[in-house]
Amino acid sequence: MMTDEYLDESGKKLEFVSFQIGQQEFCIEITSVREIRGWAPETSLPHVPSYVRGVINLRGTVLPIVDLADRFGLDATEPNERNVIIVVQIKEKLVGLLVDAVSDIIVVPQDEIQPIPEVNGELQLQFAQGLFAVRSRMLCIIDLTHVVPELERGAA
Amino acid sequence: MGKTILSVDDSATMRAMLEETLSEAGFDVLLAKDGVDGLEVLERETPQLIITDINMPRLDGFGFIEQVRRSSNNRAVPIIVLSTEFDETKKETARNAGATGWIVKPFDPEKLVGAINRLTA
Amino acid sequence: MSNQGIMQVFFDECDEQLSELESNLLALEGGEHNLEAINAVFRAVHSIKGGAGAFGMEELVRFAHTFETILDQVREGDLTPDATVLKAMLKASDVLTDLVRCARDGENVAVADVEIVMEQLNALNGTEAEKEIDESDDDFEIEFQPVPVCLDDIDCTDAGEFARFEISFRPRPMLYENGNDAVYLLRELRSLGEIEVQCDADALPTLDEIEPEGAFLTWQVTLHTNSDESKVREIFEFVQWDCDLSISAGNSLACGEAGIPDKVEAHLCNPAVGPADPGQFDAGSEHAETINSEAAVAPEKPSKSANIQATIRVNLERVEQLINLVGELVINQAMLEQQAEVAGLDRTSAICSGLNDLQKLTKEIQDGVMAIRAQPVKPVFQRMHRIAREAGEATAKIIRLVTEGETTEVDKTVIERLTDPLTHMLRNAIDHGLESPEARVRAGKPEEGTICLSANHRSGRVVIEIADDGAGIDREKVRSIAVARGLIEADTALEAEDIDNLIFRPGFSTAEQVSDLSGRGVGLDVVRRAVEKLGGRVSIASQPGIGTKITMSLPLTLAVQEGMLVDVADHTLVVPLAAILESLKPRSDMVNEIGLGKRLIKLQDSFVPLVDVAETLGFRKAGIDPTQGVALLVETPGGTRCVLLVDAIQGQNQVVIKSVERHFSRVPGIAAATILGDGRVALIADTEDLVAHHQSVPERIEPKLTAMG
Repeated sequence: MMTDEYLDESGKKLEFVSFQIGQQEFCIEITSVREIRGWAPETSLPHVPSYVRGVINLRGTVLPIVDLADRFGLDATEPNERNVIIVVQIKEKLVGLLVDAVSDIIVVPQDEIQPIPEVNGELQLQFAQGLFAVRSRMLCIIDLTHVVPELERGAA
Repeated sequence: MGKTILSVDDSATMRAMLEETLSEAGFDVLLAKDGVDGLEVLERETPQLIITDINMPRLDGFGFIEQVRRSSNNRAVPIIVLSTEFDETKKETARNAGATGWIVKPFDPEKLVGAINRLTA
Repeated sequence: MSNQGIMQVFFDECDEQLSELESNLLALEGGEHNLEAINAVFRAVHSIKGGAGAFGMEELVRFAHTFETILDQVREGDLTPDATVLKAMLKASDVLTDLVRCARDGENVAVADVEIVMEQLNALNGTEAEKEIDESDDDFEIEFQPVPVCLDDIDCTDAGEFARFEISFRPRPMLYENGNDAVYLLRELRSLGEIEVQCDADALPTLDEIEPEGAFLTWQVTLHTNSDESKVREIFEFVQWDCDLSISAGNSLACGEAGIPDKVEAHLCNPAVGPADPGQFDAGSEHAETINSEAAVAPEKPSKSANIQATIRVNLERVEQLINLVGELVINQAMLEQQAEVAGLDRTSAICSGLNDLQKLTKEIQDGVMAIRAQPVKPVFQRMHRIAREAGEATAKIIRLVTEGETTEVDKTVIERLTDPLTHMLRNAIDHGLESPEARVRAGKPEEGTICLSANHRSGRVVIEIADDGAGIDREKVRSIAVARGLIEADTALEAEDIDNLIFRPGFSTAEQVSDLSGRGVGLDVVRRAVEKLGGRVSIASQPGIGTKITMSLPLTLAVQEGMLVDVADHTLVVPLAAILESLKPRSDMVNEIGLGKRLIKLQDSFVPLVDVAETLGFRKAGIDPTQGVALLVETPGGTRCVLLVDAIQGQNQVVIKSVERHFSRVPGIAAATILGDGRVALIADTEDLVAHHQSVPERIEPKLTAMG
């Protein structure tokens, strides 16, 4: 109890949901996660980038599904029932992120988060807003705001 | 314990304003949209004070006040007339009908609350 | 509720009151000289003025006040509401509508118009006019200052100037009967300064003689205050007839005893006696009757026959939420049914009959919820009276607008989007349909042209008709214009009906001169587009010399649509049924290649572009052989005809409309989505967009095809 309080005062702690895409591990802030559910076949949309897999029925809401692997320039996911969809809220909209698996919920003190080194030219780092290490693993925090540019086009 | 005020006004705007002003001041508010409606409310409720408009469909403020003064259970309740009109004959008619006071719309919320507090203390 | 929220209530109320105002003025104009209509008109303006005053909308208050002054004279019988007066009042109600709209939208007011109508109103005031104007300005100042009565108004500004008042008052029973109390008045006095109070209870009878609701006490008050006498008198303003009152400004030498009136008789002293608690003396109500002789004659007991139905205001969002949930229920129920079928359950089994009941209930709930959003067309119809008045003035035609079926209910959104097309149609009927008064007389018709606007429900849709008794469509003229505009060939053979329908084609306008009304280059095609966007259809019927009738048929709701489910390259797509004219199986001799992968299909005598839906949407790289698919002849809201080529037809179904834009963005060729019985999402085609897209793209979508898989 004492230690917790002490930590609270020393720095703000952030909570993340971590997940896997291929061999890599990423995470997003838990505050933007609405729910986690299994994959279901999408209805594809015409004239959209390949990483927008289509839409599914989330209890009556037409939810767009984005394949994060494809979005990050990795091999596109060939989803099956074991894949996971993380439903996140990006501004006013709900989007399902298709990932391989959700690993953990991680609590990290804010001051342990490091900025992105500028050396790496990999696509996924364009969407990273920070890095932190948990035991031996390095996790990349994804900034959701620019992951799906289509959302910003809004209504035509 | 909150005091209950009945506000009778055919204007939804005025009802909304009174509800806002009075509930903020800590009163329980009952609303009625004309005299007939007001009398119906009074069959079930015994407010500590009534605020009524004059110009209303079905039963106007004068008629409403008279009916209240003739009723068995709310006969002595203070009734404030809240009206945009201010001519003396109208006031006299209201007084004869049994009104306790007259306030001209638009009302100053603080003064209205002050008046209610004095008439219900 | 926030101030903004109350303001919204005010504007909603204004809409209601304005509509009430207009319909009652029209009733008066129609010869109904009943007092209730006049009172209702007065109340409407009065309410608007009251609310506007509270929000400090001065322009609105000023105009409403002038209007109200005239209405008051009518109400009092000083002014007869003849044709001239009513005309001015209708005009005033139009201006009032504009002022409300300006206040709501924060627009500037066209002051000239307001002033002109104000003058017209003041002119009705006859000889009193100028005096009234001056007075009304003064009144205005007073009226909209809160004038408190029985309130404390401590004038702190001239502190120091203390005066002493000797006040003696003896309440009469009436004071208590009106819910007042000596205690309240004493408190009021105390709020002005320091008071010394003496109670004279000499008049109080002994307990066995006492009249429980009588008034026997006299109060002597010495008040030291910096307020002047008028402030003191103000406190008693409302009770001055209900008590014996004397107020005298004393000097410091004048003593308390001088103020005691001689008439006080004494027996017993108990300052607590006298109904301090208004609710305390409930018992003898018959007694109240006897002493309440001063009261005016009570009105007749209000009749319950008016029987106004109780309504509640509900936030639209809540209704939307409910509609969404019911949509879910419908889908879930369909899914269960499908599962039961897949599981091969016996139709007579308990589960299946239970599912049947569920389906019926679901349908009833859906209808019930949709009915919440339904509203009568009355407000829209009423707005048309003004349009007719103005159009009549602009064209110097005499018009009578008759409305029927105003209580017919349609979905709120449909109603909202109905105003524009209806306005356009009405103006068109007045501008082009009706003849000038002279021409009418020459044709043996009454000078006054009649336009009938009606609404009714017909087989699950709402049908709105606008019929005029004008000259009918001049088919020769329409035909020659259509040829001149290149809409048809000079030798095209057309039925009379087809010619009539030409007026809905884009680029067609029968106006020889561009008039104020029809505007430049805006024709009835706009109406048609608006109506078809709502899932409706427009048709026209005309008889030379007798008149023209335009009929709109609209869905009752936009939340549900009738759709044709079709297969398009492994996808299920929904095509709005309203857009489909017919479906056919193309033969190879009907198809013509015209290069660039574009094809035309020959139907009767005309060639219609063929749109391969799967190809256009990028679901398939190349189009299929038309003879292997099914062709749907559609007409887009813009009036273009084309054939949509799909793989197969699954059937017809009612679909719940879901937005794709809500959580994504606009998708070309797609209007919305729905959820099918198996729980999967199906897209609803946007026929107009599909056609436009087909014409502009095919190659551009090439790179996406591989990605789409």
